[in-house]
Amino acid sequence: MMRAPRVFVFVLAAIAIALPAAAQNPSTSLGTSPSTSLGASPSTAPEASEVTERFSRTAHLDANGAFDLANIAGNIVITAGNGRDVIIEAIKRVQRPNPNAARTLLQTIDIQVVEEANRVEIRTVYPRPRNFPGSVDFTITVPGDANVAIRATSGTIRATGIRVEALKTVSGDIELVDASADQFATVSAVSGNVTVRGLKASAIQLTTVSGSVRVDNSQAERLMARAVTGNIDYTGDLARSGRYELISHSGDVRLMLSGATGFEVLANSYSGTVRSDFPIARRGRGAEGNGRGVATPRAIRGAFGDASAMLVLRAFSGNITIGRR
Amino acid sequence: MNCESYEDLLGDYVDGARAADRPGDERLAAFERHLAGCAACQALVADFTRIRGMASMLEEHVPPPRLWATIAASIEERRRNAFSAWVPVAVAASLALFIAGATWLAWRHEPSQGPQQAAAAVEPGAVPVEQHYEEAIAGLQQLAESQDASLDSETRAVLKENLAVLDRAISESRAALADEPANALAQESLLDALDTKVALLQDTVALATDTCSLLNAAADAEKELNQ
Repeated sequence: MMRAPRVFVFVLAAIAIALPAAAQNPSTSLGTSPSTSLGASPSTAPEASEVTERFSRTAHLDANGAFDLANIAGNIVITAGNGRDVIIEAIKRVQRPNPNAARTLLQTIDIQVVEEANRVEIRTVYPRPRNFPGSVDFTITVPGDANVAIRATSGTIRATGIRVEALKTVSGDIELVDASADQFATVSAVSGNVTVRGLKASAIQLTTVSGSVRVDNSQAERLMARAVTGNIDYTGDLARSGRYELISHSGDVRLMLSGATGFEVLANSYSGTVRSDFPIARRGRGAEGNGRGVATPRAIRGAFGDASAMLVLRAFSGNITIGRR
Repeated sequence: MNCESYEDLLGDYVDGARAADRPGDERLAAFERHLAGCAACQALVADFTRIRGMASMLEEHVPPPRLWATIAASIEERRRNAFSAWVPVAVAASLALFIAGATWLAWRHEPSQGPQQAAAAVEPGAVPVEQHYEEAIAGLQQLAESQDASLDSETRAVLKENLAVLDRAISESRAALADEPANALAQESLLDALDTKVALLQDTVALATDTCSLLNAAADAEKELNQ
């Protein structure tokens, strides 16, 4: 007697998995997809059933167009592709103790796609954004020259190879790999970490409040990184004539520099220590030293090499380190 | 008619336009009637009026590039979003412009001089910039609280927790300034923390506005389905 419902659920899940993801009309996406899957998620609490539904859509984007995504909850993975298509794959999820209730709620999550020649906008619309027991995970491919802006409330953002304009989340981490930014770009989290690798940017601002910022092997004409309680780590070479402003209140600021680019540095910590592996020379007019820069346990001011890059490093209680890689 | 339909009249109203002075302007008259019974619009008008008053007292300064870039990016981002979301963000941007002058003063202390000289340039105990920040923060906080209900409890908890983190940073910097009123780094740390708090509040307002617009979109979709 007990086997029938289990078999029924299993068969339903199998059918749903076997069904291909259905493309939806953006204006009538509520409950139109046949690809609803029903089954208990191993990652959810035992009393909650997770119902999922796949969403697929492809949109065209002209050269140098704009891609904009607003999502409330769920993880986002975005990658640059070769063609001119924006390929959107999403999984809607709802967790409720009652699977039927979960399925009903799932139908109310609407993924709206607005497609214009030079712009593609996606936003997830919930019947009630507050405390809705669901989320939407996105996996997206965009043309490599698309200017990408993403705003999320909770969930991680992982972006690879894109041209970034703005990435923002409140409680997730952000990872940006091999991206570029032609104009001013901003990447910000509130409680999450911001990690950037292989970035090429003219100007970018990386901020978090209680997370950390990490920048590896990137080139920026102007890079601003700020954290309040987290650390800021910069590893790699400096751009000639680049300006780097790294500020943390109670976290540490650490630079591990490779390459031969010289720099001028203003590094100060109120109650932490400041240390440099590079010999710092006095630069410009000043009363200090005989050709040597100011170097105290809490401040370093001066120049190394040709001083072509500018470093402004500041901490209140954190330590500042400029080391060789 | 709802609040959104009068958005374009808010600016004129704050600038002093009144239906009594414009006998043929039916929309303005309708807006005034709406305003009399709408707490949300009254709050907006009050905010705009206060900002206008405060801004008129500021000296004219060129904002530092960092702030301007942030504001420009924010404006561009808003332009790309639904029109209905513009009002609170415009207020937030106005507040950012308001503190731009204040921040400019702080940048004047950018250490192109020695630490002792920089310290001497800061008048002991005098932090006029801080007052500007406080005014801006108060305005943004009021705006954020008015829209707080649109955010889910987890997000609100995260934002509240991080505002508390910033408040601690502000307190630590103030304590350092109390011990060493002429310490330039303590003052910079205070301004950094205040600046970050302003940015977080701006983002909170933008987020709440986004969520509101999604809620409106959901209501529209539901209406469409019911028809």
